Amino acid sequence: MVRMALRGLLARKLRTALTGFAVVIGVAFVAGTFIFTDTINASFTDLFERVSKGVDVNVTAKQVVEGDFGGRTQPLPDGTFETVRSVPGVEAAEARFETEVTIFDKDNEPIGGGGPPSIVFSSNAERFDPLDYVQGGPAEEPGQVTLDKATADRNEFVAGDTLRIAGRGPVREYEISGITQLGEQKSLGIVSMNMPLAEVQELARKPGAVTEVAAAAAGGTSPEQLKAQIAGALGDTADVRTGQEQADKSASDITDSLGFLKIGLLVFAGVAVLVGGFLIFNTFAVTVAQRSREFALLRTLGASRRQVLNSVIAETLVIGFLASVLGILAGLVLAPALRALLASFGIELPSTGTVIAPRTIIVGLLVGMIATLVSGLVPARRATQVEPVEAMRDAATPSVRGVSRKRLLTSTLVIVLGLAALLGGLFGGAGGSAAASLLGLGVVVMMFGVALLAPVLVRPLARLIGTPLERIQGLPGRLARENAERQPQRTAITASALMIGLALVVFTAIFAAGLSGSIDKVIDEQFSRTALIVTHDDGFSPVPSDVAERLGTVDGVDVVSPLRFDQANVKGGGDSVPVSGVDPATITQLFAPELEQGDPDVLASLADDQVLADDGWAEDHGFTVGDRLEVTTPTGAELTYELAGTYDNQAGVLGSIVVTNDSMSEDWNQPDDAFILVGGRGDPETLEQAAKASLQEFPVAKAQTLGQFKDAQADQVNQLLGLVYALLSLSVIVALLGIVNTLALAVHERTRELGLLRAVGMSKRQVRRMVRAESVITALIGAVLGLVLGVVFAVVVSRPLADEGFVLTFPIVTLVVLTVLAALAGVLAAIPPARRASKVDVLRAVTTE
Amino acid sequence: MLGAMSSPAAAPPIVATAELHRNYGEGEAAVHALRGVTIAFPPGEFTAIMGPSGSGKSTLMHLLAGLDQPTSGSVVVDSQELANLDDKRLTSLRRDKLGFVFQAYNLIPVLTARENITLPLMLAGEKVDQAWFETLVDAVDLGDRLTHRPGELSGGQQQRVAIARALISRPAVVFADEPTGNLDSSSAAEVLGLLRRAVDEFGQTVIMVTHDAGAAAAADRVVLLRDGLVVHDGVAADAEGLLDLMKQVA
Repeated sequence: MVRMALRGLLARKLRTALTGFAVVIGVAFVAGTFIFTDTINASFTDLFERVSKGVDVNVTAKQVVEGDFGGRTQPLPDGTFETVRSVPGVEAAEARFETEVTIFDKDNEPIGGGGPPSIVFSSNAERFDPLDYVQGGPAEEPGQVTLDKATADRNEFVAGDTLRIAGRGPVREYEISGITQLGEQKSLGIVSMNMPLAEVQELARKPGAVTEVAAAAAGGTSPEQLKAQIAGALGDTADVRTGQEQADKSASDITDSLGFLKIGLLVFAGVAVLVGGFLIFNTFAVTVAQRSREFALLRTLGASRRQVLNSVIAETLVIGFLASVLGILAGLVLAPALRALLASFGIELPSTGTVIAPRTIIVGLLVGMIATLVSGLVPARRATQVEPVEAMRDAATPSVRGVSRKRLLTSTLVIVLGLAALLGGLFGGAGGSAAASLLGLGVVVMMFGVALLAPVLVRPLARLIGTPLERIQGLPGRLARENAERQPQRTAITASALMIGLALVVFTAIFAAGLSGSIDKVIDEQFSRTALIVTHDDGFSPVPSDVAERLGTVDGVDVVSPLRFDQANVKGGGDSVPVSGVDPATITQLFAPELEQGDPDVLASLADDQVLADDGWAEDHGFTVGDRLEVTTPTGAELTYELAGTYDNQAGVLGSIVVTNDSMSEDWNQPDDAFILVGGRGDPETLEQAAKASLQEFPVAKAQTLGQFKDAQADQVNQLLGLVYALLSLSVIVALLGIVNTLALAVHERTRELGLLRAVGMSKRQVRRMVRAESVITALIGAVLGLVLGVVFAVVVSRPLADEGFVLTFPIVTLVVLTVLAALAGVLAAIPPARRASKVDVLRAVTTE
Repeated sequence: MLGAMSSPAAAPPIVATAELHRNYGEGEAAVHALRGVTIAFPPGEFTAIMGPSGSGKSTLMHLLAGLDQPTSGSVVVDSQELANLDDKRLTSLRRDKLGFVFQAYNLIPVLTARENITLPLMLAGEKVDQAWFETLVDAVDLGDRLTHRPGELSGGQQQRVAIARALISRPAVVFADEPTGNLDSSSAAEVLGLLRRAVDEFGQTVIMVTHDAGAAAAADRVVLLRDGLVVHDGVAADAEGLLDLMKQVA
C-alpha cells in the first residue's frame, strides 16, 4: 500500500509539487526566522565577547528602573573609578563613558534616523582595545574620532575626512583619525565611534561622568577573585561582574529586546503555514475525489478501510517530509532576505556566518509534517468511505453536495467561540502575553469558523460577483460563475486561503488609518494653540540642551514650553511607568489636556512635589486626588509626590504621571527635553523658517508646524505598514498558488466538457476568458470575506482603545485598491490553467473509445 | 475494390476529400490510419460510414469535421479548404457551419436544455431565430424539458437535445459519431428518426459514423472502410444486407 502511494505520487509529480509548495513556503518562513534570529544572537554574543578584550571585571551602575531597550544608562557614583583603581588585585583600570549622538553624511543629512543608534565610546587603552584599525589609528587627541568601517564605507568616509557630530550641544566637527573594524563583523548594527573620555563627556554635557569601569587583574588573581575584591570595596553602590558575565548579560539584553522581533516574524510564519494548510486540504480533497474509482477498485480487491487510510496518510507524510526539507533549505535563503527587508526599513542588524541550530531543523520538520498531516486527515478519511461498487459505475464528476444544516450550526458555533476568545483576550484583564495568545487564538478560530461557513456563502457571493462579469463577457462569464458554484466546498476553501491574508491586511490598514487619525485628532484638539513642535530628527532622541533657550530668541516666538520624558517605579502603580515632565509656567498656554479630577488650573500651578496622573491609570491602581505617591527614579532616589489631579490621556501623548521639569532636573538627573512646544504670532510657516534659521548649529533639532508634524507621524505609521504588508505578502502568494492549483485540477476534471465546448465552436480565447473569470470570482469571494472579517477584527480590537482616543477610520481608498488587487491577482493566477484549458486536445477530449 | 464516386452530382458536393492521408507516429511504430481516401458527399444526403475497429472511420470523420489535420490531401467543406487552416478559423467554422452529435458527454452540465441547444449561437453572440428554435424543439419533442439540466434528462432525451443543438445554426453538415451507441433500442430509433427527418424535412446533410448495422440502415448511402481505404460505397441496404456486406469485407 505504501509502495502504491509512493508510485502514485511519482506519477503525478506536478500535482505533488504544487501541493507541497505551500508547505515549503510556510516551513521556509519558520526556519528562516529561526536561522535569522539565531544568527543575530550569535553575532551579538561574538561582538560582546570581543569588546570585553582584556577586561576581567566590569563595574556598571545599578539599574533601578528597567526600561524598554535597557533603559537610560545611569552614571556611576562619583569616585567609583578611583576606588576600583586602588583595589590591590587590579593591575589596570579604565573609566569609560558612552553617549548617543547623531552624525551627518557628506550631504549633511543625518545618518540613522529611526534605525540603529550612533554611539560614541570613550577610547580604550591599548590593552583593552578590541578594535582593528583598517586605516589610520585610534583617536588620542581632542577633536579626533574613529569611525567603524561599515558606516565609513556606506557613506564614503576615509581617514582624514571631517565628521560632523551632534551631541547634546551644537554640532561640532571632528577629524576621522582611523577606520575601525571589530574582528570579522561586517556590520555592528550600530554606528560606533571612539574619542578620548573627556571629549565624549563634553559631547554629552556631562563632565566627569563615568558609566563603566573596566579592570584587568594582576597576575595570579582570577576574574572571580577580582570581582569579589572590587565588590567588597564598592559595597552595594554598583553592579560588579566578571568580563564574561558582562558579555553574556549584554548579549542576553539584546536578545530579549529582539525577542519581540522573533515573535513577530513567527506570527507571520504561522499565517503562511495556516494558509498552506488550507491549500493542502483542498488539493487532497480534490485528488481523493478524483481517485475514488481507484480506491473503490482497491476495496473491491480486498483492501481494508484502514489500508486505504494508511496509503493516503503515507502520501501526506511523504509530501510533508520532502516539503519540510526543502523548506528548511529555502529558509537558508529566506534568512538573509529577511535581514535585507528589515534593513530597507531602517533596521540594520549584524550577522556573521549563518547559524542552523538543531532546534531549527527539528521545528521545521515538525511544523511541515504536522501541518500536512492534519490538513490531509479529513480527505484521507473520505477516501476510506468510498464503496467498492463505485468501481463499476461510470465515474461522473462528483455530484454537487448540498450544505447541511449541521455545517451551518457548527460553523456559527466556531465563529462565536472565536469571537469569545478574541473578546476574552482584549477585555479579560489577563497579563500581556496570555492576553495576546488568547487574542491570536480567537482570530485563528474565527477564521476557521468563517472558512467552514464559506460554502454556504459561495452561491450568493458568486452570483453577486459573477453577474456583472457575465454581462461583460457573455457565455464564458456565465459558465465561469456556474463552475464556481458547482462545487461550493472547493471554491470556498480556495477563497478562504486568500481571505486569511486579506483579512490581516485589511485589519492592519484600518488600524494604521485609525492610528494616524487619532494622532491627528489629538493634535488638532489639544495642541491648537501650538505653532511649532520641535523634536529630534530621529523622532525619539532628546532634543539638544540649548535648543529651548535658542528658540526663545527667535523673532515672533512668545512661548517656549519643553516636555521631558522618563520612567520610574511607582509603589502600588507598577514598574517602569512612563513619566512626562512639564513646565507649569508655560505649558497651559500651548497644550490643553482634558483634566478630570482636581482644580481646573492644577496644571499651571503644579509644584515640584506634586504629580498629575492618567485618570484611567489612577483608577486602575486605586489612587485618588490627595494621595501620596512613592516614586523611585532611575537614579535610585526615592521621592514622595502629592497627587494633585488627573487627566484624560489621549493617544498616549503624556505618560501615566506628570511631574515638573524642575523636579526632573533636580531629583531625576533628567535635564533633557523630549520635545518642545513653541507658540508665537503670525503664520506658523514663517515661524518655522525663522526657527530653522536660528537652529543651524543644531541640525538634529527639527522644527515643524502642526501640519508637518502630523505628516511626519503618518509617514512613520506608513513605514511600519509597509513592513507588515511585505511580510503578509508571502501568505497571499501561497493563497494565490492555491487558486492556481484548484483551477488546474478543475480544468483537468473538465477535460471532456472543455473538449465539447471547443468542438462546438468555443474559441481558445473564450475558453481562457472563462477560466480567468472563474479565477477572478474565486479571488473576489476571498476578498469580500477577508474585507468583512478584517473590518470586524478592527472594530473589535479598537473598542478598548477608544477610551484612549483611538478613532476608527476606514481608509476607503485603500480598501478599494485591495479589492482591485485581489481581482488582478485572480487574473494572474488564472494564466497557467487558462492556457492549459485552451490547449485541451479537442480530439482526445471528445473521443469515447 | 470499389472506389468509384456514387450518384452523379446534381449540386456541387458539400463535403469532398482528395487523396486524404493520416499517419501517426514515426518509423516502425507508424500507423497509417487513412491511406488515400477520395470521397465526396452531395448535399441533402444521409451517409453512414462503417467499418471494423481500426478501419479509420472515426479518423475520417474527425478530418471531415475539422477536428484533426490530415497528413496530406485535402478536405473541402462548403467550398472551404480545411487542411492547414489555423485554429481560430477552424473553430469559427465548427461553430457556424457544422453540427455535432457525439456518443456521450454531449451537453454542458450546468446549462439547461434550452441553453445547450442555443450554445453555438451564444458562443457566436448571435440572436436566436425563435421560429426555427421552436420548430426544432417541436421536432425533437422536448417542449416540456427546456428548463431541465442534463442531470435531469434521460440518455435519449440528452441525445435529442444534442441533435437540436446540432441543427440550430442551420449547418452545412451534421456529423454524428456513434449517436446511438449508449442508447436502448427505442431511444436509438427515436434518434435515428430525428436524423432522418433532418435530412428529409430540413434538407440537412448528415454524415454518421457507426458500427451498428441497424443504425446504418436508416441512411441513404453507406461507405465502408477497411484498413484506411474505402472498400464499398453504395446505396444503404437494410440491416441484414449490411451485415452481410460487412461480413464479406471483414
